[in-house]
Amino acid sequence: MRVSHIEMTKGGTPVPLSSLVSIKLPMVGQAVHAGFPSPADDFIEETIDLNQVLITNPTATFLWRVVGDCMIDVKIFPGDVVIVDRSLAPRHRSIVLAMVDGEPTLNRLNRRGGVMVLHNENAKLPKFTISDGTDVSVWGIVTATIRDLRK
Amino acid sequence: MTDQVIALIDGNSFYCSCERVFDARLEKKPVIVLSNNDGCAVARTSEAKALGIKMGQPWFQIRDLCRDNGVVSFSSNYALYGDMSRRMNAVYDTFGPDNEIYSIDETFLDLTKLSIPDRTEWASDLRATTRRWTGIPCSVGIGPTKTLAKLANKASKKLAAGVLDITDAAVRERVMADFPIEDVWGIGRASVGKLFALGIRYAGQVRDMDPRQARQILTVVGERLVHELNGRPCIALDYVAPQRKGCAVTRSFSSRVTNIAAMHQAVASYATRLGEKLRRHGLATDHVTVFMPRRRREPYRQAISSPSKQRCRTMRRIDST
Repeated sequence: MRVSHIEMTKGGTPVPLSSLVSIKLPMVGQAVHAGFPSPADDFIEETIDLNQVLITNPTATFLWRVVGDCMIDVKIFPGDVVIVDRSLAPRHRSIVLAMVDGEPTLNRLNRRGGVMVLHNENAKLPKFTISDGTDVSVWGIVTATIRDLRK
Repeated sequence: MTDQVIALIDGNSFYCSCERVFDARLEKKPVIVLSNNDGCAVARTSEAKALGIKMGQPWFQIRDLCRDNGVVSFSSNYALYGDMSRRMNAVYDTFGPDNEIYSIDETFLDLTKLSIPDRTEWASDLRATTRRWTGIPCSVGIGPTKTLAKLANKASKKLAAGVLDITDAAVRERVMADFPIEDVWGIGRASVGKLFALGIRYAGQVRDMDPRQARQILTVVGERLVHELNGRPCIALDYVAPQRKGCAVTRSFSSRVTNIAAMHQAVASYATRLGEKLRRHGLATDHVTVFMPRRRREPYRQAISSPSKQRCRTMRRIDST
């Protein structure tokens, strides 16, 4: 019996990647036509592009919004956006987006005696168990979360 | 000079596959995607095709069939399909630099200058990477011309591997021997009729036609086709998207329109969309055509119900200066 799962947004619709806009501000200084050039010019670096910081392989990366609380012990809360990279190979201790009987769920992947096992990360919830015959596949690896702290 | 080698990659039931990526419950179910206004089916999975749902079939004709057989239908979500298409092409870019995006789910890749020891293995890798990164299953056809790459792609759909390389003449011969002409790129319905009349049913027979005879029957397009099928390239790869010469806003209605006011309303809103589209592409026009076919199977010319029916659409680009 499946005890708990994280439900994604309605119909499993991902947050389109394009909703994160790459913000590129002018890189170096202002156009100074006369007068003394800004002494800060040499020290101004490219502004931070969060896409670059958070996403290694944009082609294989999708954003999903989290619904449900089965990963709160690892600080993934409802309403968070998780960044999921499909090109990475799942490893021991990866946090994964798995399809469990077609339902998108977030889980911790652990190796137990040679087999990979999925866990939830909420001590208050019953243990996450999967019955025989359940169709499980790893959809992608969660690499980061984005949370608006004002909400 | 080395012989040209072209690959055509396309997404299987592309729009449906896009929907399946995010909902694994759809994996084994029949899925269709409907056109803009939910008018007709524009994409079908193999399960939906098996139920007899035809390409372009109006929704009101298949509604009951879909309900009774658990067909999952989606309204089209072009923002999603465009994003997935972009991702697929980004994967192809890592495999070869010279490609032509032919449609939202089809891309030609020029492999001529790439040194690939085993093309089938290379194509399987491309296919697996696309599947893993984007979730979309695709098929790869490889041949010495665009027409043959397209033919190989079509034939590869029947293979579990989803890859078919027909650059080898013997393999090509075998595949073309029973490849129906109606599936050949560039042979339309009218041409099929003319060729059938000559007893020509398979691609192999078209290949063996005298190019001059092909020209007589099917115009210069037919002659080019015969050369392409013989492995002599006539259609070059367009690396840069050609400039638009016209554009249209077309929708099928989800049910029959019998009220003139409703039709006026639809025409007005499509005209608005057309204006938006023209502005987006930096185009201007001096001709606008309105057409509304009545029922299917009625001759098209009867259906045009606009005083401007004789006019053709011409567009010119507004220079950015």
